[in-house]
Amino acid sequence: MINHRVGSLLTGFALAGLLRAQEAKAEAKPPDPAQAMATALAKAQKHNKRVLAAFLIKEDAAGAAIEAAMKGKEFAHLLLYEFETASIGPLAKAGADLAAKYGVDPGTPALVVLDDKGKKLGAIDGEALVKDGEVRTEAVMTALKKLTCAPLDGEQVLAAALVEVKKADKRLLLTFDAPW
Amino acid sequence: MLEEFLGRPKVAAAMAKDWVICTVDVDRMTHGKVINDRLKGDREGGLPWLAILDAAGKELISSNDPKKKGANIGAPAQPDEIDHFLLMLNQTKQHCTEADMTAIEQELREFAKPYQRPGR
Repeated sequence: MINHRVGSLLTGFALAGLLRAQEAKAEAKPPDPAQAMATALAKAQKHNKRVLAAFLIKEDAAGAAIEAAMKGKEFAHLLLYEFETASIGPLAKAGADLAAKYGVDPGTPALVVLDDKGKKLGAIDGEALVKDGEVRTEAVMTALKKLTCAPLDGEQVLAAALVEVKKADKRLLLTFDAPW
Repeated sequence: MLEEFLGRPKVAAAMAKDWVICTVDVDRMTHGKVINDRLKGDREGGLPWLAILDAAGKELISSNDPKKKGANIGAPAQPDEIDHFLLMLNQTKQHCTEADMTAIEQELREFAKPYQRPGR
């Protein structure tokens, strides 16, 4: 078996592993912004999450600081549970197009929250994001938490699936899982 | 891992003939843990835990493998876990052909290789 739920210790390991895997992937090949956005939207739709479009210039001090803050334990937990993150390098053509679409200044770091259809729900940028060179982690997390999805009711999800099973003369493969 | 496997085009096409796939997130969905506890009872668990139900909600088989004293196979990666997962499908299929089942098995055995621990 791959996963056993034994509490927060494992969650921490899982988060660390996830971040290492994401870093390894990022180092291997920078993601195409449009593809990153499409993937994040598809996953958000499937998992009842929001998309966090991170418009960051990695070479920029503020961009690097925000990226580092997002890897902090609590921030990473929030992202893992409630958001599908799309890293958008705003200097590339596709990134600049997305920045224009969502009203982001390509030269300024910004975190944009979208619903699973791609509708912009909010954005955090400027001094709300970084002030005097410091990422305003707590304030950013508070703002992001206000934009998360309402949770689905598992009983309703299960009941709807059983209706579909009956209608289609199928069986239900029911899986229990968690974001970690 | 399981979600990624079930999303592979060949697997998804074959699975769609017989199974509706539903994931309950025990951490993020309200009542998720309650449903997990209700269906799993006191059997060995951990996540992921799987069950195949009929349209009335009656469990037909679960990821607890009787050949391993009821251990939960979770996301099937090891050969014995894959065997039990395939048994779950074979025991509950109604419309899938042999070719469908062969496709699922081949895809799973290939997909699981990077996740397998040596010496098992």
